[in-house]
Amino acid sequence: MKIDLGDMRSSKLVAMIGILFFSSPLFAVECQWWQIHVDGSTIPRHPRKDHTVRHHPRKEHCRERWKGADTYIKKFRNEPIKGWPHKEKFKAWTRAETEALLQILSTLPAWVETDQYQFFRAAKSDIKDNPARSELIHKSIILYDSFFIEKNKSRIIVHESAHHLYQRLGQTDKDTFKNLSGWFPRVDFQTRNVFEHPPVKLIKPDSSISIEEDFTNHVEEFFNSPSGYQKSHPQLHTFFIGRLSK
Amino acid sequence: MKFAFMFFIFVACAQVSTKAQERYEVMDRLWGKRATKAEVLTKFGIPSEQESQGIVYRPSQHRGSIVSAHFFDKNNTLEEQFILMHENELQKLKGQLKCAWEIQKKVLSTPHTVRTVESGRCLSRNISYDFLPTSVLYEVRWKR
Repeated sequence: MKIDLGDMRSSKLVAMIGILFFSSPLFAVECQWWQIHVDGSTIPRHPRKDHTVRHHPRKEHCRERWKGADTYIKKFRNEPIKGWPHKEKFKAWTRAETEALLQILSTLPAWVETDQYQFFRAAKSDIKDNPARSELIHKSIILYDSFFIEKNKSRIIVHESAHHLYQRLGQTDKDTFKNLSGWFPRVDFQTRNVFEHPPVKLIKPDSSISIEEDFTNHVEEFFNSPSGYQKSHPQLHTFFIGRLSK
Repeated sequence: MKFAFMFFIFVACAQVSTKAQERYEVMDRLWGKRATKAEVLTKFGIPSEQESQGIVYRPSQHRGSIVSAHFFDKNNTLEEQFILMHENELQKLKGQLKCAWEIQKKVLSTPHTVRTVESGRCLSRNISYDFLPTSVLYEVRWKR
């Protein structure tokens, strides 16, 4: 059968034969469990804003089940962190746990920068009921068993990410946060030491541990309830909008 | 009155001129020459706080921070001083204040974080530094 390739109907036929041939099991694209297989198809002619897209074949391919899954999946680590100072047992991620976290990560805003971190899994924290911890040198977040029974897992991830974000804040921004939150250092002229006085009104009790912990608690609240946070902390809301929502 | 006004202008200008050099470099020079309180005031200007034999400087735009503090003996000679800084500035200071630093690293844990911090000393120049966990800053201290 002679095929005239200049003919429109012939080129359509060739495209269809190509799709059928390459979508046969011999050439099928193999997708990972965190991906969805998308069959090859012909995209019909359709209008766009300022031009028309001609009909064309689309190859079969794999698409992420959750946004960012192809990136995040490489960040899951099953081995212990070298030199970890706590007697905590590291373990391998299960498929269900990985899925749960991939789902959460796909919903978080870009400013949380979770694609920068590695995720480790450990059984139980040496701090009672502690769901997560951050290891700052190697940009890691460790999730404990208790994380997976928490109702609002997203805010825990945001809290831990905020510890890493704090490291990258410039000095001026750190000082601005400190001021707006209400920290006030004093020098004891007798001992010649400096003491940081935490804000009179703490957003969470453990904010008094450090300025960084206070920062992460504020970021968590900013994420969890933006309108509520704007009412309760208008100046800090403006501060975070300027820096975190880009 | 005229003299007081001119002195004020001179001190204000002195504040501007020290920006070209890092504050810790100026503090180190003052330490090396056993500066008097008047010399420290000339270099850094009017302090934010003053009490007995000590003065404290806060940045004008962030009263909730401390830049440096300086303490004097009964002869008004510089006896002790410290500056607060972030880690990247500390590394710069260690490079610029030539010394055989004795450094120790340790792991510091809180319920939510694990980080490695360092402490160090330069014995020949009576300088030491330590991490302040509440401030999340390093304190560099000169002390005789």
